[in-house]
Amino acid sequence: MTNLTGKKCLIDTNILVAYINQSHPFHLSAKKLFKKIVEREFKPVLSSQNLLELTAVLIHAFKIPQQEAIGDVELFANDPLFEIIYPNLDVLNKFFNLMKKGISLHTVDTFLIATALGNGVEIIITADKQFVKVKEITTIILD
Amino acid sequence: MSQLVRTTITLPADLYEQLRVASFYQRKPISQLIREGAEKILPQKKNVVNLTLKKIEGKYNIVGKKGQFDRPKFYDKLNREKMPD
Repeated sequence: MTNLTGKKCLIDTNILVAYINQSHPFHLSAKKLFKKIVEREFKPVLSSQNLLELTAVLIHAFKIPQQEAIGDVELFANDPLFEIIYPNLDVLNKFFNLMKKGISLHTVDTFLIATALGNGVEIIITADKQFVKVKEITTIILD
Repeated sequence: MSQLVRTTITLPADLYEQLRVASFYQRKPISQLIREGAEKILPQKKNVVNLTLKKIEGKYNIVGKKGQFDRPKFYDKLNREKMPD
């Protein structure tokens, strides 16, 4: 894996889901990654989009009661290990520019990349190989 | 050793003097002595446990595709539900 020491890395929603779900095919890999997070090998970043998506997965796919699902998501959101980033005007402009360039990603993936770039995050850790196609951000694939 | 960061710290004069003497006799730079001291009081990496994250590690056991997340499929399904043909 690329040397991530001290670098800000966006943790994709699929990693959060893999960490929280013991039957996920990448659960063990996600656990190893979180061990590195706890040991502060790099600076983990979550976007508001990741937290929204995790909430939706817990409630609508896992069928977890809403209050419990929010409690789980808050554990990520409130843990001081994670920096939470949000969309702003710069993010919106980055999103428009990426779309104009004809980026070959789903629109919502593109918005996530724009949120990262607009907040100075240039690495994404994900289980989704589609991100490798994007030149604008360094992609680390969890395997 | 991981990447080094330069910083400024303030020490009492007598502690600095003791460090200077220790540096001479142990033939180590003062910065190394300070690093060694810091490592002694900070938790060792292998023993670090984040109890908050442990609470949700593998908390659920959802088998199959429902237990995974594919962003494009997730949003496309949502769009179909919200905007039926």
